[in-house]
Amino acid sequence: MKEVISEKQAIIIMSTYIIGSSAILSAGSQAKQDIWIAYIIAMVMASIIIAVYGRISSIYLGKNIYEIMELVFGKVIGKIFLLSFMCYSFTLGALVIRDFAEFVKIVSLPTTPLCIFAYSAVVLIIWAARESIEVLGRFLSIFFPIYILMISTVTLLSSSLFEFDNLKPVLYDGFKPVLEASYSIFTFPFAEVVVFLSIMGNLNKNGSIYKVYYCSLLIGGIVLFVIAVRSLLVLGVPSKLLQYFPSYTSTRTIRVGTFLQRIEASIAIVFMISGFTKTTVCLHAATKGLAHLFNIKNYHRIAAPVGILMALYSLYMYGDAVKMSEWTAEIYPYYAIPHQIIYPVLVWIAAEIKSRITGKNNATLTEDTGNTELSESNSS
Amino acid sequence: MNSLKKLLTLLYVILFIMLCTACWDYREVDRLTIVAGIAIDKAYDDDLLLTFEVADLLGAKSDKPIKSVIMESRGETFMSAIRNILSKDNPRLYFGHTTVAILSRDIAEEGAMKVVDFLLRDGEPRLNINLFVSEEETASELFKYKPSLTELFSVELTNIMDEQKNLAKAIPVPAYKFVNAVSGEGISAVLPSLCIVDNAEGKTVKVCGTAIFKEDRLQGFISGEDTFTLSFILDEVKGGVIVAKKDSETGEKKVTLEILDSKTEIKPVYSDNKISIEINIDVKAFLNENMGGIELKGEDRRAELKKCAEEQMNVRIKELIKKVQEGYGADIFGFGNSVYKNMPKVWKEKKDEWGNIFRDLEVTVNTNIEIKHLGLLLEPIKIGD
Amino acid sequence: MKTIKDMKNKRRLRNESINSKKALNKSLEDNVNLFMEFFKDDDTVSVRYFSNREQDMIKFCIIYIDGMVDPETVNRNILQPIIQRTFPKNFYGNMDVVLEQIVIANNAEKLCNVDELVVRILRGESVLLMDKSDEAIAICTKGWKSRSITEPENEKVQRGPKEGFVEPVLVNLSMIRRRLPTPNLKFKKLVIGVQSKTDVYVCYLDNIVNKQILDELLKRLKNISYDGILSTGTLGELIEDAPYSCFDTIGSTERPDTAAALMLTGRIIVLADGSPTALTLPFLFEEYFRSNEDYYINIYFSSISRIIRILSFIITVLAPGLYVAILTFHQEMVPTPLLYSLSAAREGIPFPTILETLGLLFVFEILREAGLRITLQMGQSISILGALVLGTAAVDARIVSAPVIIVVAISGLTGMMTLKIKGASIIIRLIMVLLAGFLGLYGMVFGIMAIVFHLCTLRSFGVPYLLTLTSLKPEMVLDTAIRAPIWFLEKRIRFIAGENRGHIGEKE
Repeated sequence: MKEVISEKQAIIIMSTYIIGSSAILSAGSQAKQDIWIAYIIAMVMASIIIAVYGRISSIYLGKNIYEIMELVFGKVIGKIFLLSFMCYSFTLGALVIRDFAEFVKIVSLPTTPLCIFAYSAVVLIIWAARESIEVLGRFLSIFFPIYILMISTVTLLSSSLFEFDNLKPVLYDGFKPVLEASYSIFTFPFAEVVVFLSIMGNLNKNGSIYKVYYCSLLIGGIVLFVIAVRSLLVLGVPSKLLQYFPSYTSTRTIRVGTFLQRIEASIAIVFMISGFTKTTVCLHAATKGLAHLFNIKNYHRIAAPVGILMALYSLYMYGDAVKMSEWTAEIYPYYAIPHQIIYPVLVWIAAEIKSRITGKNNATLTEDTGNTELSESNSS
Repeated sequence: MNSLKKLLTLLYVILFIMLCTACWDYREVDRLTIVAGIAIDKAYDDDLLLTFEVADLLGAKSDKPIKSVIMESRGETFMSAIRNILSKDNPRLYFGHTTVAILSRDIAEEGAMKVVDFLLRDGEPRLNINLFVSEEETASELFKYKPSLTELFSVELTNIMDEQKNLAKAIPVPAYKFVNAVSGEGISAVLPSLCIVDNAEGKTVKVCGTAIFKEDRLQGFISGEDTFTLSFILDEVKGGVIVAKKDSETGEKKVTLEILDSKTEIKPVYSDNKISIEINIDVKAFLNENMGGIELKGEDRRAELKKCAEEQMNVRIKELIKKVQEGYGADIFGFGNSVYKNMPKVWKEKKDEWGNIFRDLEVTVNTNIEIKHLGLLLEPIKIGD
Repeated sequence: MKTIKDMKNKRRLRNESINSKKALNKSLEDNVNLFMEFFKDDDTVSVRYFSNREQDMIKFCIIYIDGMVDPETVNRNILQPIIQRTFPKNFYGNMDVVLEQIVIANNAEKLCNVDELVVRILRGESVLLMDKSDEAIAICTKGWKSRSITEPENEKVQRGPKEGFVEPVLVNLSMIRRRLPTPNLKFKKLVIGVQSKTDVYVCYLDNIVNKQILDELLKRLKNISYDGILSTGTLGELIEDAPYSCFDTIGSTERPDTAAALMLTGRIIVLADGSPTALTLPFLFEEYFRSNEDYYINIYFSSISRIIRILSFIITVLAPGLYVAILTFHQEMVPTPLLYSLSAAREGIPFPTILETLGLLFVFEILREAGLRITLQMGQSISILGALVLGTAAVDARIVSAPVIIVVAISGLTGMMTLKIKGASIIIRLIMVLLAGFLGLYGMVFGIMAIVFHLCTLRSFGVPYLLTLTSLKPEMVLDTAIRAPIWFLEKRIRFIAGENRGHIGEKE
């Protein structure tokens, strides 16, 4: 049975994916008190590139990016692109695992070896990647409401600590740092949805690809916006810039009465769920790519080795947390350019040309979404 | 047989997890020494001398209150002092529930940031740990006096600071706000100060004023009365009382106004290349006590009282500002910050000379006290013959 | 899944118990010996020779098993007519005449296959043999004592019917039939069990049931080859989707009204002779927290009870783990005064928290198990008393700390709320404690995520186990954690029921 996910499931997977590790790490801190502007600009930027992603998937309905690359560039060049794209998903997944491990280690379990977190996380992630993506959708449809509830409760509880003065002055250092910040927010996390190009082929027939992309961008964007602005309002600029995990530390300040305090674990839980989702999607994409590269029929079966490699890579990719944060802040935005912008745009242009040439019978490119007999996506 | 193997593997994994327990970060709660408060002093040879107030749970039974134990340790840095205490055959100190950190005068004068850094950097201490400065010789001596209500001094101090919401006699400063004030633009930090006073049962410790910092160095202290005025300027007042004095033929009469709500707005004004500050204070209060039996019937009489109270407030605020401007030159009121926030362009120009500007800054104060009601009595109690 | 199927196939037993392929012949003596060969060394088998008092030339013989038959029926309906009545003129040793005109029984059949006859005897029927005839009559004389219909102990209700299933399957079927007197109610009979030859009935409403699920069920039932189906529990294990999971993917009930209500939603009931528990399928996770009483009482009250049941499950599963995690890893999460008292309570306890918790959980399970095996009333009091005495004594002796006792007691008490999920909750609780001791709260969150993920992968006869919770459709939630008024629940869930989805005002 072909894996099919419904539109709603795709939206919650993607929005959780967008929130991902940004739930605790803060991108674009160079914008200081103007981070809210940076977020809005980043969302606008993302909505443009997302149109490209959506277009690619809708030209070749029911196909994943690897198949599309091979179709538009031919076997050899397609495989080179494929390898690069696969490596990107792989690296991204490893990055999130590392983020998680560093977070837990710094925040609460300082003497436990880093690898323990990575391994225990990856066991769950491999299991999730071995199941179909639909199961992840179902899993999130339970956790997503809890997740949103947690974030909104934390926001409400910290509202008494809000100092709206912290947002002032607007654009003190001019537009440049804000643009820089919004670019780094754009690359992490918004444009990272490029990984979904390998999954959107599984969207059920009557789901709209654009709606999935834009709804998720909106939901994920709003949640991240709320998280970032909340920590700014609570901590103020100097303290927020000092913090490694601002949203976590800002939750530590919550104190309602004498009993309702010390609830920062909720942010850790939120991060674990979203980080898990993000890594699972990345692992899914990476295994799919690898399977496609070597013509392995059932890609679920190689999830375990790829996942273990991912965990190992996450441990060896940086020496320490400081190097990691420097890399994410300084190099990642450039590393992301080819994968998030150049390749998709190239694929898109090539696909447009190719689909024009192959003519009107676009219908042949679309593939039947298969047997949906017992999948609830069809039950509406 | 494949599934049997799987089952065995699963069992093995579970066993492995079991073997892994009780290691790494697993720590028993009774093996922890829960630190309630820290006093940071300077030892004679530039080392840090840390004094910890620790809850003594060893002899604790449910019917007896928790007693405190004082521990002392020395080291070149904060962490080394903490590690040194370990070697003295004491269990591990745990800072997750520390609520109070008291800096001694020497430390504060040398620069408070070097000790506050640890409190923020380490994962254990909370971000909103309350910072204090000791007005006495050392910080550690404060721990020697028994608190009057609870058994732990730090707990009592925290309760007092929580109560300040309704008193405005001291301004609680959590560590992260101290950092904000030290590194923020155009604002200097303050911390509440502690001193030893006489009490009915002997000596006890009290929050008696505010320590003024410039950058992270202590400049001096202001009194409790001035602190109350300061909290008006900083918009920290949520309650408390204003005593208004009214002159009359029979001498000075006193009236107490209890504050319901207060709002302060600091407005920078820029004209003719000169910055001035306008402070607008809006207080809602009600009359709680009429010691002199002032007649309050009639609009004009009440207006008179109101005006009198406002006038006194204005004077007090102006006096304090003057005192700080001349005495310390530290912008603890955040006037510069308000310029930075509301007129970023002006701030860019004046930023570097702000120290001088502040000393001669012209401040106008407008207080508006709104008396909402007069309590339960309509008229003053008549004193008959 | 494949491996499970393989294992089930391997377990198939090929040795049919009776496979002699012998036939009756004309000699009564030979025939009786034929039977007695089967019943060698079985002294409960009775053989009685007799004949009609007018035509004593023709000998009859009746074979039955003592205790399995009702002597009254045998005397009045077989012996009496044959011995006392005047045989019709056309008799001449014709078995058909005996069957049609002499024997008084509503259920009698002429057979000549010895194997079949032996089975009939074993099931409590009497076999009538006649001289010079190679045929025999199997007459239904079944009659044994069985338990009277009582309220099921495990599914008590305050309001609503107090009938419960009993062991004889036909009585159970009649209880269902009385509730749903419609020709659409179908009872499909299968005989399963190589040795036990248990009658298994698959019950469903033909117009509502999902035919795919029904076909799948019948396929699985027909594939079963197992010695003895003594309880529906065995049957359930053999046809379950995920037998290795600690969650059941097949439900069970002892209440005919629950069974009928489930059938109205399109579910299928499987009853087996000799078992007072019916299997219900497909089974969804939420049914663990559902009681049929919820539909008989006020909506608010039933919604609250359901929420309490769900919360109880969460507490019973998580409480000990959370205690270990917070006390050994996340002391910063406890409010300061509570931490002081917890720390004071643990002072001087020799065991680490995790061992303390595990040990006490173990003791609690022992008490529970011990209480289960003695009579109910006594068991309960022993459990409570044992826990109290053991607990207080242990605390006073400073062997365990008081908070652990409280946590384990809460966990045990809340566990009582949802008895059906007990097996799973014990395992999960244990895993949670171990994970909490391993990585603290992070370990626990991993555990919770793993369990929810596992639940998401489960299916019961093709229906997702968490169907209603994960559908993201508001109308699906109406009957899960809350119970909406009945008129809101008018749609059946398409997955479970076939295409016929209307609940109320449905046209036949």
